[in-house]
Amino acid sequence: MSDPKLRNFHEAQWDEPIIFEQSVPGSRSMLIPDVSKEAAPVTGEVSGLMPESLKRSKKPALPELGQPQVLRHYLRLSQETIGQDINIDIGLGTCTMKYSPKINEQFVRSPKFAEMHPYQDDDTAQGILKLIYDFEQIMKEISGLDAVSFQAGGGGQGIYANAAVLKKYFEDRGEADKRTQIITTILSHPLNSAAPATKGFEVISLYPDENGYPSLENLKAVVSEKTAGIFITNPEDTGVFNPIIRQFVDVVHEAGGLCVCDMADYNGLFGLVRAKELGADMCHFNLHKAFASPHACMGPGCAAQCVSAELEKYLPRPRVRFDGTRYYTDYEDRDSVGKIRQFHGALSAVIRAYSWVMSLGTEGLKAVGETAILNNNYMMKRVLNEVRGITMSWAEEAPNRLEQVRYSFETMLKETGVSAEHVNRHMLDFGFQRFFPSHHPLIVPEPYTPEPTESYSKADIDEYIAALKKISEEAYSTPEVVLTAPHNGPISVLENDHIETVDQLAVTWRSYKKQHGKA
Amino acid sequence: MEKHKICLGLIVNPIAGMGGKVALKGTDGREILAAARARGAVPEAPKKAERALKKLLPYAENLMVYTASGQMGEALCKDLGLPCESVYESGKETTAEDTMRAADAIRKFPIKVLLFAGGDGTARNICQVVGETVPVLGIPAGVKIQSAVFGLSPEASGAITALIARENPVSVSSREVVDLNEDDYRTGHVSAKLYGFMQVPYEPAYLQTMKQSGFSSENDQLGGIAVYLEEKMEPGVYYAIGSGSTAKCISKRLGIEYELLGVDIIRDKKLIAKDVTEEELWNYVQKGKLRIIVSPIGGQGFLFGRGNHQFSSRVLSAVGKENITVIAPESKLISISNHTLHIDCTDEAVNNSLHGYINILCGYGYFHSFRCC
Repeated sequence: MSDPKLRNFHEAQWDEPIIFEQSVPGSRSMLIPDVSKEAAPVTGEVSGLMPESLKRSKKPALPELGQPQVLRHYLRLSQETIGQDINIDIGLGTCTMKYSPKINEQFVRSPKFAEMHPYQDDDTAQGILKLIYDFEQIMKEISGLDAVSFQAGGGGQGIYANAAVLKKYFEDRGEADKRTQIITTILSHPLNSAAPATKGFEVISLYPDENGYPSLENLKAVVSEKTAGIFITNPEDTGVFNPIIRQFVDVVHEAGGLCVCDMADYNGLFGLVRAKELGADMCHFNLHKAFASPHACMGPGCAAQCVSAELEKYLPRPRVRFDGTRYYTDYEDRDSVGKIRQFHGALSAVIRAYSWVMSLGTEGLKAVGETAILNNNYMMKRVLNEVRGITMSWAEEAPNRLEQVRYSFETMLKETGVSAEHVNRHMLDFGFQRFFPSHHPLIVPEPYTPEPTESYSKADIDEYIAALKKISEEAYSTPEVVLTAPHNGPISVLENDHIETVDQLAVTWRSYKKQHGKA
Repeated sequence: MEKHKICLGLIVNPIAGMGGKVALKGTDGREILAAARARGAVPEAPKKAERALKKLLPYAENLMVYTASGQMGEALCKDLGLPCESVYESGKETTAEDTMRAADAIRKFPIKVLLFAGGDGTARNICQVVGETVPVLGIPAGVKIQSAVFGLSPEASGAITALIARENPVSVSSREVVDLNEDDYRTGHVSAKLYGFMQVPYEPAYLQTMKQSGFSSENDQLGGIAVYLEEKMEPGVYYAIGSGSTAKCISKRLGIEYELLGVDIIRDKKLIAKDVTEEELWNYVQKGKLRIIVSPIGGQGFLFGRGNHQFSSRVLSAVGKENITVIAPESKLISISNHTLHIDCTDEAVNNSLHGYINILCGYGYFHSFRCC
């Protein structure tokens, strides 16, 4: 079988100035007739309606441009990006990059939803309240747990919300001072450590043993009367499912702790595994990943936080309730952890996820999980057999994986001097977005974590593998080609781009001007 | 206008690695070298240095390599077409003294990194002269490669240096230089000593991921470790602080003096004694409650028995596992193979008492659970 022809991609380079630099004082996109005099008899003195403390003393420093200039600016910027809809986005593993059906955009952009206000009376918002309520019932079924909140605005916030519930649970039991430790695994998503830490817990991370997941012996060695719970991602980003998860949960439960499952890597488990059967007391799903709502800069995140009946009273407020005839917003928060963010959360993500689930049905969801597993194992077999210099940890102990794999370019680095980062940069030359190496810390050296979700066809996967093979061949024959990549980008390698040098970051025009002495 | 050149240093220890293939476990000392040659050993280091330097060839025109004469670097640079200047003239038969003198001469130039091909002995000699004054990176070419200052392979060392040659941002980290005692090693006994620290460039891929994840730096982690340790310190308890810059983060936090390569005693956040011997440490153990704060050696993962013999079997036995706090930043932990710590005391019972799992403090209230055997 011959490999597909690779694309000779070249990113656009517009050398586009920042929009503030293009501002021409007095330019306007729209000229609105001044009717204030004619309107005054009807409206009265409008500015008097606003408290003095809220009035601006000077006009906002916005850029002044005509409509065509604004449109051109943003279209040019859009051409300089390489987003999920324009490339075969297999490389960005753990992010579950899948096709987000465009019909869902019609739903969330409909004025019926887009023009709603969260302070609207419940009687005028029965449609969206019903949708939230119904989707909660769906997520209860998918998780097997008893109550759901959509308030958290992303995976990290979902884990934080669960940590907040766990803390409140032990405070109510008068054990908060005693239960001070959380156990997690080093290959669980880092927020499983960070979120409990922000709630004041000490965190102990377990390492995988020879099988690719931590041993029960290690867990038992760290569990104690101080254990408040375990935060665990399963499968971890290696695609290895911890087959003794139930024993893990039992050990923690016996010690008096709770189990919190991170279901961010759920795509391969649809229709196959539920949090309840894993023994979880709490879990979260990312609607902006596995449930096809777009994420990162493409759309708002939303985590479905699912908890057991015992913990329901601690969920963030408000909740949506149904009294048999009417849906209503319940702000009663006597036991709640309070607000994680405003109102009901990112409802556009809830609407997209609802639409996606309803269009697939039970069998369709199971097919998502099965196809994701099939795609990943097809890609894995080809990559390991055909791409020189790439390996997979625990290859013998866990030869089959769920929805993703953490590979390593360590062999390639040792043999050619070409690292995972060099390969990553060269992928751009063939029209692929940068791949995701690994969460921190890098216990798999020179890591690479692709995730070919169910959205990708065999032809897509073959094209992606062809690029990997080409780069590997170059690494072993003409390594300087890979070492100096990317070759087709508007810039080669960004210098001095350490995010740690926060004092050099300018995330607003005002801070940029300040740093460059123009303020 | 002539383009500004990137300056690098290069020292090849031509005899490094010659003992390995003829089973001599090192090449320290003239007699061993003669024996190695008698057994048919040929220079290994120049070949390995060549593999690394080939990675620099695409950037040759922007480089200036300061090196030593002949086989210590100049010949190789000339063969490869790398612009170079010899700033030290070695004798025909090179010695450790030549390595040190060459390092001293080269460091006076504005080099971005001093690249050397050799083993632990070469690293030790260079460390003695340059310490942490300039970044240093080893091309693994010796028989003993225990120090955490080497690239994964000659090509990997070359690739990191190529990043520097291209003026890409590369961070450096303080890493241990250790060396085994070759006389003991040849007779089957392993004993090692911590000789000091050098500033070593990070691996590029590791750096990149740090950027993507917004992960905290090694210094941030050490800061978190030190604050946590200070908060948990109990009044009246002696704390024996092990050797190395990691363990001394608590001394730095408390603003007290310390001996980098020795064991210090702290009580009530004040320095009680600096650089104590095993006998002195044993006296403190007998005086009152004592806790140990120690960091493993990067790469090999030895916690006790290598480079810190003050923590003897009797001391460890009396102190007990529950009074030992192990600390390390994550970057050091991931360098330890198989995520396993090792203990090599003379008393097997003490070794066994410390086996099992140990929670290593690697940030404020954050632990990694490592196997210890």
